[in-house]
Amino acid sequence: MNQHTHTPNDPKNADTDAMTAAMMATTEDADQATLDRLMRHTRNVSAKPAKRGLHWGWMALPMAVAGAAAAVALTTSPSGPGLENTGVPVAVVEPSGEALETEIASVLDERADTSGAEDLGPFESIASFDPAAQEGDWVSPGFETDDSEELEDWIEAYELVLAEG
Amino acid sequence: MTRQAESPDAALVARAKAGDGEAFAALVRPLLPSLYRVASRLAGRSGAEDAAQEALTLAWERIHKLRPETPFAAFVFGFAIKKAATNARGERRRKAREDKVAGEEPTRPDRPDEVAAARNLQRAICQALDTLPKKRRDAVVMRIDGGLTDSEIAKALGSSEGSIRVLVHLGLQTLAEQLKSQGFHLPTRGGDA
Repeated sequence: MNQHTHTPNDPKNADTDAMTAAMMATTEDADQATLDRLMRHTRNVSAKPAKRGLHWGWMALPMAVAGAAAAVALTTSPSGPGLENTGVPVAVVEPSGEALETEIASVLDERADTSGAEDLGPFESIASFDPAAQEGDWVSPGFETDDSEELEDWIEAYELVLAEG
Repeated sequence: MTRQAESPDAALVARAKAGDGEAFAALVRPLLPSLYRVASRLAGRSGAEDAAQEALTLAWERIHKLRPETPFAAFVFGFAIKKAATNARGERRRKAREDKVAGEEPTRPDRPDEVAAARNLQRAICQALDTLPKKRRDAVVMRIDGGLTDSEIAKALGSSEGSIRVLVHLGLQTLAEQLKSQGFHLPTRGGDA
């Protein structure tokens, strides 16, 4: 057995058993009203045809634009297959940039709720993507940052927008 | 706590992919309690419902991309974890900015007079989770809060079941070390708290 795998009741696993117990003791369970709201949301959303306009691919990160700090952030915070070495998730638009624009607006709205519209930071660059982008076009970060968390958020935003890899 | 491991209902998935909202709802219903637990672990109680809703919306919009080998639960939980983690980071930055503007120290989770001990532990776990490599964090949360099986987590994260067992073990070990170093007393087997 691999030394890192878990054997219940093994004294060597006291810490991981204790941590499991601590997590289970601090779990937040939804009340019935919350579950009902989530179910209503599910029914409302799925009553409409799904929006289907985007998929995602991979590209080489334009390091010259993103800067050395970005390179550090990407190599230390891999976010998907291939990212460690070559790239970040990007939009591959089909058939036009319109759906992407809609999704971007949604992300910006969410950010405005929590960050303040005047302080969207790198997310402003998302809004500046060419709405006439065609299928297969690359989308680059287009901003400089020394804040790895901001960069990671940009990447996360793309994962959220473009979803399943 | 652990959700029953069951093979995804292929017929429901096929109907959902064809646009049948009732089939999608039938797939989602049994997952909601654990989906909420996963979202609340990363986004807190205040952000959990929003993150869960957003994840469900994305799951519906992307259902056509669900691969046959990926369990539906793993598909949905992947969205929930990403949404909850991103929302939580935004919220923390917003809070830090507000604290800075107000000239106050950021909230410290370990001040005994601030909140009850259980709430402190919950926050500390959330913060410690955020320091883990993302894959390790996701594996721990999917296993403990989501109740997913090794096989389901492996499909969700693109790893082998053996790797998932290692990731979960190492993740829990790191969390335990971090919490103990902060002075938290973790419960032991047999029940002391």
